[in-house]
Amino acid sequence: MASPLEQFAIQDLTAPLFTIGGHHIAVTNSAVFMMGAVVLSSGLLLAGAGKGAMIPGRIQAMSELFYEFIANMIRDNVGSGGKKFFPFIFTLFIFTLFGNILGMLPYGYTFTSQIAVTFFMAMVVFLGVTLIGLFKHGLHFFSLFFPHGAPLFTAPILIPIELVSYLSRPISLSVRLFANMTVGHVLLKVLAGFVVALGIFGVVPLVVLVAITALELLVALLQAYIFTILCCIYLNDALHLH
Amino acid sequence: MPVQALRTSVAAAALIGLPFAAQAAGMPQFDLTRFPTQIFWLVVCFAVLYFLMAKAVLPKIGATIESREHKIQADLDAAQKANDAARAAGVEQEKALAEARGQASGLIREASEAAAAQTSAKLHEISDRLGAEIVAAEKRIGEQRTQTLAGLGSMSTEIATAVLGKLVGSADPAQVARVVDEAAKAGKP
Repeated sequence: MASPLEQFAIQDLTAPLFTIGGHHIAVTNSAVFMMGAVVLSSGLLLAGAGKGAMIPGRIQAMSELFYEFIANMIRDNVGSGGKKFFPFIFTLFIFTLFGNILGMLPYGYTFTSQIAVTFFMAMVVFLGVTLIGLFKHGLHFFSLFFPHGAPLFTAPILIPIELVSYLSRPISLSVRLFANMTVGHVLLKVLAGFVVALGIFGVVPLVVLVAITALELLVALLQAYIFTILCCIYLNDALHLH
Repeated sequence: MPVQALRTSVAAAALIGLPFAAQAAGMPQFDLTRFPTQIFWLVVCFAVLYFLMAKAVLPKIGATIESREHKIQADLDAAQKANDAARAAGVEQEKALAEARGQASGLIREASEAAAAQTSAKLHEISDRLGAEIVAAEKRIGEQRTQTLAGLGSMSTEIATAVLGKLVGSADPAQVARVVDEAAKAGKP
């Protein structure tokens, strides 16, 4: 039986197209699903935005649901000044969501189960948010590392703690998404292996497999939501400090 | 939920054992040589999606939602206005009705007062006339009575004179008259 980790391998589907900094870039299975997520999500949303009817149809209602969902998330978690980042947060959510969901299709590939992808997104968010905070507040931004109103003598303890917790944000953000997606797919693969191996008694793991598939769908939605809302919270910290 | 528990334990095991497992099992995710390709495609795809969302999708959906909210607000305002107008008309109507009712009751009162005055005037007149008639009748009766009484005296004198003439042969009518007068006066209570 193939290793349950094999499904995560990145495979070149074409010959290298070009080279960047000594790295050959080819269309990979991961890239295909990224493009699929872009095409599918933008197609759906463009169709939903297209008519702009007073009384929305199904696709338009769904698009507006996404829009209002993220708009409310930003309003509740970022507040003033968050509107500028709406397109970015929205794209982040849609991209992650479609990546997670497309991975649930048979023969699908989950590009969000790649630490390279999640860590890069998390780093972009982390660095962007830090720069926004520095531009907005200057050196005052560093008051983020010392809770307002704490006694001064606690500074030697609190500042390193806050600093470490701040610096570990991109790691926790990226590992949360990557680990959740990876574990889910490993679990599905292992259970699917049992179904085949147990013959007629494979019905038992099959039932569990169905239940876990439903759970993984929930996780796919939930992790996209968590990833996005944490970015909103980090952005809020940078914009408004504590 | 056993499924949830199973998943959590696998997740925990995976997270704890991640660095070792990655080395041992050769997790494809930690193959650094495959990072640049993924990051390249991520940047490209994300940029395309961002561009599409920011330029095409979001402004349009936002405009649609906003125009719908405006429309709903306008409709609500119009409904409120119509409601206010209806209420004002109702008040106006109520006022007109009250005025008309007041006017009508005034007229009724006036009419009934006039009728009452007329009736009482007529009653007065009738009772006056009746009173006068009664007084006149009483006066006539009194006169007749006096006349009758006066007639009675002379008749008694005549009868007494005639009786005396039969009995005694002759009688002085003047004397008889005086006696009868006296007797009548004495007989009167």
